[in-house]
Order: sequence, then C-alpha cells, then structure tokens
Amino acid sequence: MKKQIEQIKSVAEKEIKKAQNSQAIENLRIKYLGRKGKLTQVIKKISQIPKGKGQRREMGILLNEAKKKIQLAIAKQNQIIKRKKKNKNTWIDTTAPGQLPPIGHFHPITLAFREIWPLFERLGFTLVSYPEIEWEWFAFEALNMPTGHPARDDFETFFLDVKPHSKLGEMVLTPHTSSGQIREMRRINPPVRMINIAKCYRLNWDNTHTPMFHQFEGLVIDKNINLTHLKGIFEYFTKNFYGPERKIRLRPFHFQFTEPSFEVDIDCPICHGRGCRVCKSGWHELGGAGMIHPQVLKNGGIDPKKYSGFAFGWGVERTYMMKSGLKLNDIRILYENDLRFVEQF
Amino acid sequence: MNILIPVSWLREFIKTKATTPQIANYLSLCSQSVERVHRWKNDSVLEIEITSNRPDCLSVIGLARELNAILPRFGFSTKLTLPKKQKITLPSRKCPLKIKINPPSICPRFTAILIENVKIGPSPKLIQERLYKIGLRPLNNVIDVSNYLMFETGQPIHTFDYDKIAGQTMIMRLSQKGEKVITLDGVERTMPGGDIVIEDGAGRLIDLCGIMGAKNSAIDRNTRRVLFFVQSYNPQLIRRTSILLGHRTEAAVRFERGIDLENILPVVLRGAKMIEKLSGGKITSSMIDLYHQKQKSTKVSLSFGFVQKIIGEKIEHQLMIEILTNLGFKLLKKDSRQAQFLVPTWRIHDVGIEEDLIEEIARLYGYFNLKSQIPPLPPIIDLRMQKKTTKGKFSPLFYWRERAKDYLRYQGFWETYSYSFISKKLINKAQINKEEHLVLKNPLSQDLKFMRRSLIPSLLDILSQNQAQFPQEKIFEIANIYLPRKKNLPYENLCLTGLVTTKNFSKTKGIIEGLLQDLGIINYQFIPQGPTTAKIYVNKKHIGQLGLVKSAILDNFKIEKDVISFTLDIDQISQLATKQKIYAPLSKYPPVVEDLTLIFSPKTYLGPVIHSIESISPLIKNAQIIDSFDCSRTFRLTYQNPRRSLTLAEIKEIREKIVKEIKEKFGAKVRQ
Repeated sequence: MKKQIEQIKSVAEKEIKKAQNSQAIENLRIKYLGRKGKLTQVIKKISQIPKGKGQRREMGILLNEAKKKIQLAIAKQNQIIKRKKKNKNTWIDTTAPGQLPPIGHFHPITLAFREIWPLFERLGFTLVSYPEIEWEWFAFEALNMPTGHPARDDFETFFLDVKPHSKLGEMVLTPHTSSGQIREMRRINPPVRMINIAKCYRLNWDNTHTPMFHQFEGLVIDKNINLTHLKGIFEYFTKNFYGPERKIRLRPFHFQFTEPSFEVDIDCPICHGRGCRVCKSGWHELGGAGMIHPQVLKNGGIDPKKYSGFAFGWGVERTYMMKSGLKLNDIRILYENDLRFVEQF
Repeated sequence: MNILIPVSWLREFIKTKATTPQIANYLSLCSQSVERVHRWKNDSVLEIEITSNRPDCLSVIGLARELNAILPRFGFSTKLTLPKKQKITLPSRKCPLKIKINPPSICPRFTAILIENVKIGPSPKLIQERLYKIGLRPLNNVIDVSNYLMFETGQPIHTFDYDKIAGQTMIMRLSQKGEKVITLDGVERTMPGGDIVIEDGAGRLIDLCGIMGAKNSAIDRNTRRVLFFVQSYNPQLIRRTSILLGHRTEAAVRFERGIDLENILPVVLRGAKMIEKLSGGKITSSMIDLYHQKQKSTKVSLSFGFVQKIIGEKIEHQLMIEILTNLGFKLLKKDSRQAQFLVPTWRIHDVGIEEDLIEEIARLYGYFNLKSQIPPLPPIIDLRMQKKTTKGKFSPLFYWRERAKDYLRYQGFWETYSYSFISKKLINKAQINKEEHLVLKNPLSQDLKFMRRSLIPSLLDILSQNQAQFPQEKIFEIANIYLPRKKNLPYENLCLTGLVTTKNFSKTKGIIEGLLQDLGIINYQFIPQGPTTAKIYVNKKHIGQLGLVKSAILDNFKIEKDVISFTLDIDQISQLATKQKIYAPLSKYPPVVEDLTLIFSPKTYLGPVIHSIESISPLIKNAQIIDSFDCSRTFRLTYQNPRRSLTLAEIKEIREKIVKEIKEKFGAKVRQ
C-alpha cells in the first residue's frame, strides 16, 4: 500500500506538470482527488487496515501528505498557466521614454577637473590647494615680480581693503595658482610633484575673460630635473587628454618666475598646423611653462645648486574648451548659472 | 604686444634664401611668435607677438638680428647688414635751446639736434608704403621719419617745431595733478600728477613725454625749423601715466619696456641725416646730449655642464658659443668648463644671470630638438606632511569633496559655480551682517565687492533667477567662504551649500543623512536651533546646519516656493569621513520584531527618544518610527541576540524597561 501511494503521487505530479491548460488540470484533479479519484479510493481503503500496531496511523499520514503534495502541484501548475496566459496578452510600448531617476548635473569645471587630475595622479603628483586670498609676497615678490611690475597694477589684480602686512605686503586675490609654488616648496622637501587646481582672479571682464577663473598649476622639483622632463610631461598630458594624433610645440615666451620660459601650443584640429581663421598660424596656445627661476627656488627655501625643477600654469576653462569643442561665444556664461546651461552637462 | 613687420623691410637688413613661411615658422619656434602672415601685393607682413622682456624685438633691426642667429640653425646662411654709423661732422655752433631737467633721474639720456630750412612735404614712396604696411598713416617728411625709424630701430622719436617752443626753453619736470595738455590727436588730457612733461618758456606744456607730443608745438605745413628729439625716460613713470590716462601709444610701450641708451646717438644722427635729405634742411648746430646715467655693461659666466644639466641634452660647447655670439653676445674668455660673455647693449634689461644665457641656448638649439621623457619617480614617495604648514588643503579632502558631489548629483542636484565676491545688495537680501566681510579695494563693479562668507546669498539668487524655467530645483555649490581674522589671512573654509525647493524637511534631512553615511560618518546628531533649523554635530564638532529659509528672505529674493537650505563644512567632514567599515558577524538566530505605540505631549523631539530607546539594551537592534498620528508615534522595535534565540520573557522585560524610561524622561504613555 505504501508503494501504491508513492506511485500515485509521483505519477500525478508528473502528469500535472505536463498539463497545458486549466481544463486538463481540473481533469487531473478529478482523476486523483475526485470522489472516484485514484487517491480517494486508496483513502477509502484505510478503514480496512487493522487498528493498533500504528500501521493505520502511518498510512493515514502518508495519504495526507500525498494529497497535500498533489494539491500543491495543481496550485503551482495553475499559477504557471495563468502567468503564461497573462504574458501572452501583455504588450509594452518599449519605445515610450522611461521614467528617469532624479539625475543632476555637474558644472563643466567639475568635469574638467575630473579629466585633468587623474592624468597627473597616475604620475605620482599630489593634489593640493593654497590660499585664494594671499599676501603680495607669495603672489608676486617671491615670483620675481617686484613692486612696479605690471601684473601688480590695480587694474590687473584685486586688492583687499585691509591693513597690509609689515613684511608680506597687501592682501590680494591670487591672480594665478603660481602663488602656491612657494608654499608647496616650504611644505615639503624635494622631490616635489604637485598639482594645484584652483580659483584665480583678475580684473578682466569680456567675452573671453571672467574676473574669476580656474588654473591648474604643476610643480616638479628634484635633483636633475631638466627641460626634457617638462616636455615629456606635456607630451604625456596632451596625448592622453587631447588624443594621440595631436602634436605640441614649445614656443619661447617670457615669465618672471621661470627661465627658460615658454608657452605650449597644440596643433589646430581644423587645419592641422597649416594655418586657418580660428588659429594662430596652425597652433592654439594652451598655457605657460618653464624651468623654475633659481631665485624662486631660493625664495622657497630650496638650493638651486642642488635641485632644479619646472612649473606650468594653464587655464582650466581654456584647456577644457579646446578639448570638448565647447564653442562658447562668451565664456561669462560659465559663471552666470543659468540652469539651462548647466543642464547640458 | 603685437607688431607688424613687412618681410621686404626685414630683407633689407638680412640677406637669406629662407622663404617667408620658413622665416615665420622658425621665428616662432626660436624667438617671437608669428601669429599671422598677411599678404600685401608682392610682399608679406608678419604679425608678431613680442614678449614684454624683448623691447629690442619691437623693431625690424631687432628681428633681423634674431633671424641672423636662428636661420643658420636651420641650414640657411645669412648676412646681416645694419645701417652704417653716420660719420658726420656737426657744426660747432651750440644749439641755443635752454634745458632744465628736474629731477635728472626722469630722463637718463636726453638728446636733440636742430635742423633748419626744412620744407615740409610728402615722404618718398618707399617710406609711405612701409608705413602703410605697419598700420600707420604717412603724414609728412618729418613725422614719417620719426615713425619710420621707431619701427626700424625700436627707439621712439619726437619732433618739435622749434619756433613754437617759447623762449627756446625746455623745462622737463613732473606734472602737478590737474595740469592739462592737448596732445597731437587733439584730445585734452588732464594730468594725474607725477607725469613727465615739458614746459616751455611761456609756461605752456609742450610735450607729454614718452607718450605723445602736444599740439601746440607740433610740426605743421609751415614748419621751418625742426628739433629732432630722442630720449629715454624712467620706464615706471611712463607706464604709470600711460595706464592712468588710458593712452597706450607705440612710444609708451617701448619706453616702459626699456631703451638701449647706447643706441640713441646713432638714431639721432641717422634721423637728422634723413630729414636733411628728404626736406632739404640743414643741421645748424652741434648735438645736445645729456647722458645722466650711463648704461652699465653686464658680464655673465656660463658653465657648460650646467647648461647640459638644465637642458638635458648634450650640446657641444662650440655650438653654445656660436649661438650666443650670433645673438650679439661677445665672448670675453673661455676654458674647457666655462665661458664669459658680454651682454649686448640691447639685451641689458633682459639678461643678467646664467639661466638667461641657458634660455638663449635652449631656444636656439630648438625646443623641438629636445627628447621627451617622464621624470623618473623618486625612490620613496612620502605622502605625509614633512613640514608644519598652516595654509593649504591637502588629500584626502579632494576625494571626499568629489564623492559628495557624486552623491548629490545622483540625488538630482545641479551644481553651480558662482563668483566668490558678491554685492552689498545680495548680502542685505540674505540678512547677513555686511560688516563681517572682507571687501575689495578695487572691485570691477559694486556687484562684485564683498568676499562672501556664506554661499547662501549666491544660491538664493540663482534659485530666484531660474525659478520660471525650473520650478522644482535642487542646487548645490562647493566653494570656499572667507572668514576674516585679525592680522592674518582669512580662514578659507570649504563649504557645501545646497538649496531645495520643497517643504519636505524629512526628505531633505534624509538626503543629508544619506550623504554623511556615504562618507562613513554615522555618529551625527541634529540639535534643534529654533523651531525650523538644526545644527549638525559629530563628536561635539559643529559640521553644518539644515533649515527652512525664512519667509522674509524668500520674499526679498522674490522666491515663491518654500526652500530648505543646508550647509556642510567640507574641511571638517573630510577629517571625519572614512572608508572603514565595521563588520559584525551575521546572527544565526532570527530577530524578534514588535510594534509599540506611545503617546507624547506636542512638540516632543523624537531624535532623543529613539536614541534613549536604542541605548536601553544591547539586545535592541533598532527602533524605527513607522507611523505617526496626532501625538501618537508607533515604533517598530527589532530585538536580536547574536548568540541565541530570545525568549518572550526577555523581550517582555526590555519592553517594560523602555516604557518606564520613556515615560520618566519624556512623559509618554502607552496607548491602550
């Protein structure tokens, strides 16, 4: 009898699994659990088992379990069929727009930062930032720009209305990130590998200038640092930032705090160096650079006989715009915070 | 400053087979940058940006000298033929002009020569054409000569109608504030004071020195006697006047960058000769030459090894010497390790140390010839601070800053960047005390004058500007605010401020809590500060606040919707943030969950209630509010023991403790 129950149960389960519609399932239910069903008939026989010895009780339990299993199989199969039927009738407009989660927007300066910084991080540079409001000494004197230097005119640099420091001069808004050079030299002993990406301020306000802008400044000081290293860093940066096919050139220039000094140009992506309307004889200026002037090293407490180094300071806005092809007729839009502008980034 | 130079004029002084495009390209690579090449009939005109340290290159001769050193580096032979020094015997008669210079330091060298019987007329075609090419309008055979020679030699020149100098007297002095002069362009200019001017015998100002002559002494059609006038002036004074008057002339730019005093005499003689020739006049007196401060000569030594160390390439000693001598440096002595050079007179303002010579060698050797290599990483990279420093921000602050930005972006926030300086109006509208701000002495406008000490005014302004287009706004900015300190630079505090147009405090607070948790900060506390604001603390450190923006402020900004603002101190947060996670073993025993409803008196803060409940027993995993109605609050309590199953008796005991304590501390009752 035990065997019989087991067999009925397993056959029933198999058959139910194969049933393809609710009618078939109902037929199977009647076949096994109906009044004249196969299992029902076995149940009816249970009274024939003699009481005592626990045999009848054991069979009862078995039958009950088998019944439950079959009922469960029926319920499960019913559900499967129901879902199949439902799926068949389901139609989704997969072309209709999805409901977007609330994703915001970064300002382009953040995007620029995130493209520039990792390239230097890979080369072991340390990211720092130094005061935006600084003493004249750090912003000018220490960088070989004595009193009377054009950059110190009050139509070039912002001055704060506070009492000047007896030794360090007036308080200014940093006109360049280079003010941080001296502070970095005083913070750590060489080797120095610094990147400083920060706000700068100058009294310019037109299509191509905003009174606040951003620069990234690089500083490398060690024994035996030379011009070929500076060139190597620029090749690395421009090829990784702008693409491997782009070329750079170093063009002689003049800065007070570097010697030799130059500007770094990148070939024009439109005319490829032949010269066209948008470029200067085939090149676009990226930014300034040079070997640190020995006096500047001294001002930072570093012995120029022992160490040499280079520095560069580039405009973040310009560097980024040259890459993204962001054609802003008027860069003042960057800081006007019309959210229709920010929305595009 | 950009300058226009016709190639044909250059070729007058330098003979070479190099083509115009070659000249333009090589000049850019090794010297001054040629920005454009303009076609001009059968000539080309180079538009060149001249760096401020090279006033000698603001001239045809200066650039010819450069090319004479550059072109041989590209395999072109050159021949430089500069104008011959005029050998003329001047009349011995002294010029009757009476001169007084006060103080003498304003004019290191004063020269003048008198030419009489001049007939004013047009200049020859060649001169006229060349002036057109460099962007000047030819006027007559006297004025044209002075302009022509300025472009040829770099030396600015002035010419007076000698008969218009009253009393044949010149007093060169510093102006008084408010003195007036009408310059050659017909504009009346009021002196800022301290400007170099010349007064004549009648007390009239007849020259705004170094910038532009005065109309009252100008050459005109009837001029018969010309005073050819070549000077050098104190560069700082010229620059100052030119800037203050907003009058940037070709002469001013050259004077302020430095004049080669040794070049003045040849220019005077050449100019006087040219005028004689072109106008039929005659030099009638000897030259006036007051040379107050003789130009010093400079010698610079060069160590060959140091050159190679800085440039990073092996360069032959002979090539170094060749480059420098081609540029006009005179080799004084040399041995196998070093050499000494005399700096040419026209480079005296620019070259003074060994590194200056290295720059000359490097640019002529060619930056394009240098190899490129990444500097080797040092053997040990020590990221720790080595010296005490009080100023500056360092890693890992930037990591947390960017991570906070990421979080907010994915919560639907838009990032803004606004100016660090704001207007008084904005400060007032946001009801901040304006006295506590640092103020700019020379702001661009009144709108950009106060260094902000909160980002809220800027952000409210942005919200207000954009509310028509974007009725639902979530914006944030991370920037420094500037907190003044006595006798010190201000404290630049990096802050994150966000604004949300909403009434839903709980959701906004949730955003901040989520952010803090994302940064690994879990033990924060919100301490009420008035009815609608809270300050945020971590370990008793104040790290920020959150609250409704007052309706009066919103009215000031004409913002219609309710706004919640929050500020977090990123400097503080970056010190508290951590990537460390605490692992607790997973319990095999199921938690027991039950709900408990308590009734509180109105305005009971629930933060401390939850804190109390959770501290009652370590078996309470957490207490959450799942329902609020009137004054009743339903807490869902989760109990768990990591080591065994909890019994009903244990739970009952804890629950009774909770009810008792909350009743005692907060006066709450259990709802029956």
